[in-house]
Amino acid sequence: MSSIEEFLQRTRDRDITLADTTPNSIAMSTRIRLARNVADYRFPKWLTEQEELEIERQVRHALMDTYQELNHFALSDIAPLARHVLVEKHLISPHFMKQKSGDLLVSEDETMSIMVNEEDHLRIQCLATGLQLQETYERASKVDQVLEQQVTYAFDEKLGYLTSCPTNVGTGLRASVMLHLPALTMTNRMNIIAQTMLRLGIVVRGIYGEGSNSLGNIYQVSNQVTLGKSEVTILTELQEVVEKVIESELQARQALVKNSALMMEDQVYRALGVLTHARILTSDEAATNLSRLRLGIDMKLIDLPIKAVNQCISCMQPGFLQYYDGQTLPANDRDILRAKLVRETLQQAI
Amino acid sequence: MLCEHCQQREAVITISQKYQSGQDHHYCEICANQLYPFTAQIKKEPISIQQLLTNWQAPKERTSPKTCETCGMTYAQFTHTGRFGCPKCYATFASQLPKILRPIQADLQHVGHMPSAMKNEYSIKKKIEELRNKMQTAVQEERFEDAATLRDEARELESQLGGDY
Ligand SMILES: [Zn+2]
Ligand SMILES: [Zn+2]
Repeated sequence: MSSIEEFLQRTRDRDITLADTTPNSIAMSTRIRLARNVADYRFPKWLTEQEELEIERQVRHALMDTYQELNHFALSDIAPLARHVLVEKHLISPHFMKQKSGDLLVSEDETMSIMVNEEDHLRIQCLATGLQLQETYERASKVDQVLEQQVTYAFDEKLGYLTSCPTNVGTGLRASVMLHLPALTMTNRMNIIAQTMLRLGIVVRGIYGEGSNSLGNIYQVSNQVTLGKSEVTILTELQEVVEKVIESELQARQALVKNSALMMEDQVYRALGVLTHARILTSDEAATNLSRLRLGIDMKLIDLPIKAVNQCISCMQPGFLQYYDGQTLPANDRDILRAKLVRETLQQAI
Repeated sequence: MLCEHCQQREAVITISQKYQSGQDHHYCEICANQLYPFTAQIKKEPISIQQLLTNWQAPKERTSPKTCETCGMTYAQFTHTGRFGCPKCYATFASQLPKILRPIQADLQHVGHMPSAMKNEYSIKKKIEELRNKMQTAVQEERFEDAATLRDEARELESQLGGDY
């Protein structure tokens, strides 16, 4: 069993969006989360230390045979900066990050993580690159089925899986897709789309950004309802909505090219100029320019591997920057380091 | 509170940074629209838990439901945190559930996946119910031998459930 430090060193260049298997230009990644609780225990917030340990032991034991390669870390052994990196990698939640105790099980390829004693006893999470709702759900569901062989879940025929918060009760399923939507954002179409989605029970959030800005034109689209709809319905509805949004984004891009091709090309190359030459780069500026570059690659205005952009997006985050620099940095120093990393990554790719 | 961006106007919109810091940010409407052109437009966000809580809190004054025997949680505590204390809370506060769940969920009946152990139990219970209905009909139609057979079948199934059904 290796330490969290060793794990984060091994997985330094690993990001879900860097996988080659599926095109991930607009739909960057897919995430499935299942909330589960063990019967006859109070929810984690009200557990004694002894009970917490019992549950953690039960869960590890139940998964041991099927998932031998899982890394196991006690949250109390993870330092604040390392926790920050885990949040940025979407392996733990910001809520979990702030807790005193809890357990984290994570697969070596980072496509599966299980938080034990977060808000619920179990948060099973699977990640994938691109848009892969069905496949990712099936992987999470398999973990669920392995667990239920040995753990008795808190389940009610009427209400489904019982969770600490009533917004998760029923299926306990939250499915989300991360979307890069620069053209819809530029043409102010997101508002209308948001209203429509909301009526369909689908919620959109800006995902990215340190401090005060909604950055990088990246949005997180996820289902709201967990009770009264089956998993299949939830996934199908989300899939349909996401496909429609992608289609609208593509149309908006075509319109932009038609009406202002030179302006777009100009923006893309200005972005490249800033990213490959700046010495100080705030996360706002980095995200805005990386989004333009990404759009330029998609529209074939510039020839660069999208992987390099994804790599920048992952390494420019504050936790990541500081962790791999080995220290907590003031914002100014972070901006200098960010500029250096982005510059180096892109220059290597050109 | 003043808007943390312009420091001039009153902050009226709260933005939760879900994936980065987990912190809330408070902006005036103008800054929020600029910084979060997308999120800030969703004024009627159905999942804002704070919003829901105010809805739940309102009737709390009038009715005071009981305390959960398993975890000791009161309904007032629940409305304060928006979180139940244990799975049994759902049964304890069953009468409050429709007003909590209706605004945020599609229906009050789970229709999704079940643990396989439950799935068996559930289908057995369904079958027992069916047999009992048939038994009733048989009794009404004075087919007592049929009724006895059906009763035996139901008992057989009940023994599989092992216990108090
Ligand atoms: Zn302001
Ligand atoms: Zn309770």
